[in-house]
Amino acid sequence: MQFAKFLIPAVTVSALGLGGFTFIHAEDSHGMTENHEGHEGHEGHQGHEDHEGHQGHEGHDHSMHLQAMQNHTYNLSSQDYSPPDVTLLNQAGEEQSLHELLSQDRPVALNFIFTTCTTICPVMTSTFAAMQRELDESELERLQVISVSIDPDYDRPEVLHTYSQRFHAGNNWVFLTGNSLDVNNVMRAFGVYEGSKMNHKPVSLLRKAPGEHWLRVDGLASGKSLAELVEKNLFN
Amino acid sequence: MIFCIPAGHSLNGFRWLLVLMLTALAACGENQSGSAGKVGTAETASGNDALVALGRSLYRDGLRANGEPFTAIVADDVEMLGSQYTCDGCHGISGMGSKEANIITPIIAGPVLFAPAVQPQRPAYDVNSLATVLRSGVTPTGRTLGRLMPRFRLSDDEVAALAAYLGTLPIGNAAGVDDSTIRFATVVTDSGSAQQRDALLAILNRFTEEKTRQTRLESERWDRGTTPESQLPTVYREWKLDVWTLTGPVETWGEQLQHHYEQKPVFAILGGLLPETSAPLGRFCEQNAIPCLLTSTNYPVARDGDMYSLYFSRGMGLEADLIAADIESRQLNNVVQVYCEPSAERAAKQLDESLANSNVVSRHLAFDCDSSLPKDALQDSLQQSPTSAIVLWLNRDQLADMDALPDRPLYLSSTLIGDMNQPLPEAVSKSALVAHPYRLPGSADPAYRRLEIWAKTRKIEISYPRIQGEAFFSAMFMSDMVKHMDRFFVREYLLDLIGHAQGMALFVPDYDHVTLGRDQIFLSKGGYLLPIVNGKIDTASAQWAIP
Repeated sequence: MQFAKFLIPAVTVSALGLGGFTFIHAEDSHGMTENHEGHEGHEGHQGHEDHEGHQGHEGHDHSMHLQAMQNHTYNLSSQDYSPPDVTLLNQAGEEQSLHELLSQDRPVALNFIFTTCTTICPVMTSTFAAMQRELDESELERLQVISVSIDPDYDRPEVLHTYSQRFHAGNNWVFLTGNSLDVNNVMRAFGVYEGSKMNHKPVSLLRKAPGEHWLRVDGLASGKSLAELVEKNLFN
Repeated sequence: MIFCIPAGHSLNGFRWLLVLMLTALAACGENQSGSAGKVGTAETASGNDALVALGRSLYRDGLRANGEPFTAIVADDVEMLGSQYTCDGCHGISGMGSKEANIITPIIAGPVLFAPAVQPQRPAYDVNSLATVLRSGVTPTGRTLGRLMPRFRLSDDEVAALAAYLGTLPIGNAAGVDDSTIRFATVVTDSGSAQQRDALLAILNRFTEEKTRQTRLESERWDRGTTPESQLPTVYREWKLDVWTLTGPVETWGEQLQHHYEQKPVFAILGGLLPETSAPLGRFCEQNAIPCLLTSTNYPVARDGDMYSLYFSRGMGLEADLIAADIESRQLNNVVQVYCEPSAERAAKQLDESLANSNVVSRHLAFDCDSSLPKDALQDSLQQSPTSAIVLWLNRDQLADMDALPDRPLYLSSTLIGDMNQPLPEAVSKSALVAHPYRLPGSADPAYRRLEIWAKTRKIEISYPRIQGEAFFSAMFMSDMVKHMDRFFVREYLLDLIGHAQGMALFVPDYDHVTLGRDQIFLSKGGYLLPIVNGKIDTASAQWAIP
């Protein structure tokens, strides 16, 4: 106990010295996912320790290491998902069948966010917006963009509407909420269920057309790289 | 420009920092007392106020002096607006940083940012190095910050304003806390049921007593060793719980609360029982910037922009909305509402408000709680309007007094009825819908089970499960949040931590679908309309709804 007590200040003080963010890169995060599960009450603690490990590389070597990793801020994989046939609500408060939405003959970009998420969600949403700005008009019209709230009890349609306006979302971008059980099933189907919304990781899911594989982007791609992925895989 | 711990802070509380920062901070302390004398003229003070106000606007809202959002680049190339991604989002209202999934955001409150750090080593930030790191992401040691930290387009004046604002953010020992104790108050009234009050206080007092017992040797533990770490003061505080008993009319409660607070400041309000209304407490907490956690009340209210109060749900306001949604969906045209209690009157008005856009005619039958039910008036009213729905905002005893009712849509309030596991009085049990913003009756409630075991081992009787369950959770929740605060006893930090405490949702007894988050004042946002058919609750067809 005495030991543990003295570990805490050491961790805290080193976090003080940072003066900025540390994002554990996608490559690192997979191992951590396992550690996180089942620890709902202790979000981030595991990350804290990992972060400590990161801090050990302080200095020149570390910045070079970081630079090298800049191009590897995300992982790509091809996935098959069977999303459940649930009826959700869009930001206008209208019922929206997820099957119908995904059965349209058009490319889809999908992510999971919540409006009171303070760190990665605004960036993910901004990145989706930036990605769309990179596309040409015809592509943009074709692309169905979907953001599903993982905090559906708070993110009611009017809350999502305000959020979508904050990010100047266009007509092709639908924000979805609904019953939390349905949303959890959607998350499970897409392999993004982490138990607690606070363990939420950045994932973007891209699909060219109904019946095609999903391209899963784990990590935070930049606006340009996400647009490139969309153009290369969804509009080729 | 050198930034130091703001004047007025007890240096004692920062001893651990002093140890770690050694001479640098000591020099800073001298400098501070030197400059404090110079900041005397009103002109300088107001200039600084304006700077701090701009800094606050940049930090909290992402807005510049002209009201437009500033711009920045995040994740390598993503253009963003200050209003989309505010500083306080990640670093917290308190500036104490956050941990979300695998992302760590460090402390940037002035006393930490503008002092040197030892691990990893970096010099104290000043306005110049702050400008550099904000614009380019490069720290004074030459390290480049991660991609989630935006690169901001801010003018020199704006950076100075941010620096001035960060300098006002404290890192410790808010009023109600000193190096050995942390003080809380729970708020009750002298009206209402003394048994309920005692049942609630039995939980809170016992919890506090044990909390303190566990830390009784901590005060002797620190200062014993020779390593710098052993010089750190304990993070443990002895818990003190004051009971503030409000008396007389509700209008005087605000003044009484203020008086109690001035006599003996507390760090936060912990639970309490104000069945009638919590409104004066809510105002008091906002005005004094005191976190008020989870006071039991029938009808919690919050105003737009409130951030210091937390409630389990919207209570009877939510019940009114659940009933209104059902009346609308069934396209009923008339409703008669019966009530006597103030919370019930407010609920009846909320129901009218929710139905404002439909053509429903709502009639109120208000009566004095000390006199008998207005049975004749209700019969008359129902005869006049043969299709009218009925809402009885009545408690179990009052319902037991009711005569048989005609076959009409009948709505009841779970909050007023109390324990839904007990059978309902006959007059209302044939067919009714009970607005129930709680867990489904009969469903497993592990969080409540935890209280039962805790109480059993301490020989505390559970006679009011809801109130005692709420008290138990409020104490456990506060304990967990305080633990996560480490040494930084800052009220806004407590709020920041609450916004990230989704894991605690599992421990909330009696409420369903609990979510915690930034700006989320109510833990549970919806409820059920429980169908009662021939005396039985048809839980299978009860749907969770968020009106």
